[in-house]
Amino acid sequence: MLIVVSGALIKFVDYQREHEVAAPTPLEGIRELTKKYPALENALFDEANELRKFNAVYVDKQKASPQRLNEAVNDDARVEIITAIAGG
Amino acid sequence: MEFDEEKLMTRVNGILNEEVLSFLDAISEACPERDLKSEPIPRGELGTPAAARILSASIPREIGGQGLNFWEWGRVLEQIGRRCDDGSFGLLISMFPAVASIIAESKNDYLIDRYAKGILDGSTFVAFAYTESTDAFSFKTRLRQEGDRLVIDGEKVMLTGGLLADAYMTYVAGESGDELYVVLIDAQDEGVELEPVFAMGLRSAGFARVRFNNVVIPSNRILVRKGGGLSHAQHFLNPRRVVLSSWSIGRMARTLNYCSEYLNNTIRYSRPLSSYSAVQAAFGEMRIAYESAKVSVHESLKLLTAAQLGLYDGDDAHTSAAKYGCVQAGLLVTQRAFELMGGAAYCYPNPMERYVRDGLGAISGAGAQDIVKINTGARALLEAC
Repeated sequence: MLIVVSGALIKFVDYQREHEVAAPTPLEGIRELTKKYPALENALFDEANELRKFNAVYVDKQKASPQRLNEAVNDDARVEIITAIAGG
Repeated sequence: MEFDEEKLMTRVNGILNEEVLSFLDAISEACPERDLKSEPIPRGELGTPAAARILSASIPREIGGQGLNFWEWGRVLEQIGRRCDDGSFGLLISMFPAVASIIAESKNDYLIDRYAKGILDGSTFVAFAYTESTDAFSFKTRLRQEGDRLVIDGEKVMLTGGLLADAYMTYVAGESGDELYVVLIDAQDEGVELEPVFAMGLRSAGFARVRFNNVVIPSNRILVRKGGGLSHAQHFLNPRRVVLSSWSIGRMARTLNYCSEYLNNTIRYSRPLSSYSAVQAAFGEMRIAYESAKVSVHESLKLLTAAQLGLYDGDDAHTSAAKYGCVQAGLLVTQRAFELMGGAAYCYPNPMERYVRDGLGAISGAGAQDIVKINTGARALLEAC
């Protein structure tokens, strides 16, 4: 799958937007990416190891539910992570 | 869930009784002078029974508050925005209770007793200490552990109500810099340095910069442990966008009424200004902006309330849309009012020049307009309407 990272998260992946990752599901793909870029893990996952609510994941241009994140995808799936952080 | 307007207004008017309305009028009367001098609203005034009635309105019943939900509380703030001339007051009475409420959510009895319950009688106010001159992933305010002591160094550049607060709900990074904690730091803790921030508008809001120089706090002042701070901040800020906007809707109504009175009573070339079609068109634009923003904010308050009650599990993009639209509408309303009233609006004691200055402050509050657009746009490009 291709994982696309943008916006505020891109600094955690050496400013590379696209990453080819081999994994059966989107969530496992994201976790694989955080193994390569450990600093990304804290931005994406909370202390309970759940995806933080201010992150949205899209699989093949569809917003992914928690269930969808754990479903198998094709090798050419496109997974995009959008984060929405705002200040005070 | 039913959103009954009649029952709502009964509840709102129950909060805003005669004593509270008189209090709001007194705050209004003192506002122009305070604004000229950049004086914070006196702490004593926020501790009066009338202020306490407002401040306790949205605090959970479990800790002694009146337990208004977002819909009800937003509509109270809207009425306050209509009645009270002081924008800073609106900002403070929405912010301090929001901090107390999120502390109450922690279920930490020690922290609730020490930092949340005091809002009920005006004895303790806690400010939100988050903003630095950097992004949330790069905070420079750091916490290090030395035995069972926590030592904090850093700076927060803009605290609403900082000059009035007894403590700060402070977002700090761990030693590695990447995981946020939330801690409570008292204004009297050794090493805390406070400095007023003089702003263009909202000058009675007690804006401050706070520096932490080797501030030592006990570990029981941790509100959120390592790694939970970022989610906590967004959880705090998300509804705040709409709550703040609720007050702004009231301010817009006030502005429209002030402007229409001027236009109806000002004669030019033997006719009231309001009889000129160009003036009618401009005022119509103002009214349209106000009505659109009001509908959006009201709807967002309902969705927030449904989520609060566990009845709605949908996207929260509505809060950003409501905030963004409300701020843009507010800027349009004040600018058009300025254009229609001409030189009269430019000079003290006409409040319009202060309303413009106050309104510009909303651009950056609870998520700056440009960030709201970027975040919304990035998602919208991947989602069909």
